[in-house]
Amino acid sequence: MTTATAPDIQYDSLDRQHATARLGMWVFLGSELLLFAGLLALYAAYRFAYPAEFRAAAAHANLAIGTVNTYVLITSSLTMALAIHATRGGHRSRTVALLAITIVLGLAFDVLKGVEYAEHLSEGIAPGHYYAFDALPAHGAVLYFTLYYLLTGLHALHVTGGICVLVWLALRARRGDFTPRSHLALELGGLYWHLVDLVWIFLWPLLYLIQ
Amino acid sequence: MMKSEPTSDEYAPAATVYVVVWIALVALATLTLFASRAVTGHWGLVVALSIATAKAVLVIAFFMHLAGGRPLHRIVFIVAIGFVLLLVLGILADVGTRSLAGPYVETRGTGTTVRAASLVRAEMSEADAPFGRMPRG
Repeated sequence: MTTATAPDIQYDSLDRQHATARLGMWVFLGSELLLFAGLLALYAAYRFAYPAEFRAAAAHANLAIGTVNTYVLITSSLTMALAIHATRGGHRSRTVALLAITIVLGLAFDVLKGVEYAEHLSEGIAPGHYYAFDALPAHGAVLYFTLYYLLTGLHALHVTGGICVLVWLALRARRGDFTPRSHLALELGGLYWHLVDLVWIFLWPLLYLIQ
Repeated sequence: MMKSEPTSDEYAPAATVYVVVWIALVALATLTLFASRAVTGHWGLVVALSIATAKAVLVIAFFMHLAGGRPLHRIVFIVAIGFVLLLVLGILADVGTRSLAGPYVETRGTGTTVRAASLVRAEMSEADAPFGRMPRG
């Protein structure tokens, strides 16, 4: 990520420099969408092939944890947006506090995800070749849970990466790196965090709610 | 409600806008939960994905500030979403209009191609499962 407060402006104005950096971020987020889209396309194809098996397997997913995590991520998106809003208003300690709440919510998501994985693994629901849970129809359920692990695992990696970025941003915010006019890193980190929320908005109905 | 003072992002909604969007997102998530119990099958999927799309638009427009700012940023992301749709819809059009294995079935002109494919699957033995048998551990 680029440094917002670099003294040497390479563009006509700081605004233009920031706009260019944001353009780069949007291109990156676009490529992230396609990363998840590949797996979602696989999901779509296998769901067509095994509709009943996918429904049965999804009914076995932990809806309670999946739903709580949905609200957790939505709320973390709010606190992230409010953190940027606080920076724009020049409230440094409020920014740090809101980023800290966002981090805690992100960690809560990961912990709940871990509980969910542990529960599945203890039942013998593991991805691919290691799947050993006989209560569900064989073929489709293996594919469902393999895709479940791939999609939620890739997403959880993004959450974890996002938390690392947020910690770095919170430390910089506390140091006073961000001004109401110049806080590009915070904005770009925020965009990344919202993308993580965006992906979950689709994973939740597809993996937990199909009937 | 929305004040657009010139910040580095060129788009700065008031804090109340964020809170209102959050309330809408929570409401839509709750609606998804109840809708998924009320509407099942293919329509359930359509309803769930429609609500998810509405939520995504709210997040992109307001939390990610794409409602304001430079048009170029919108173009980049909308084109990326278009490519995602192209990929997923292309695959859905393929797998939804043919049987994936087993005997060839003419499904054109029926208007219910999905059901036709699933009827074929129902007749197939396990050994003829679509995409072949999965290896078991």
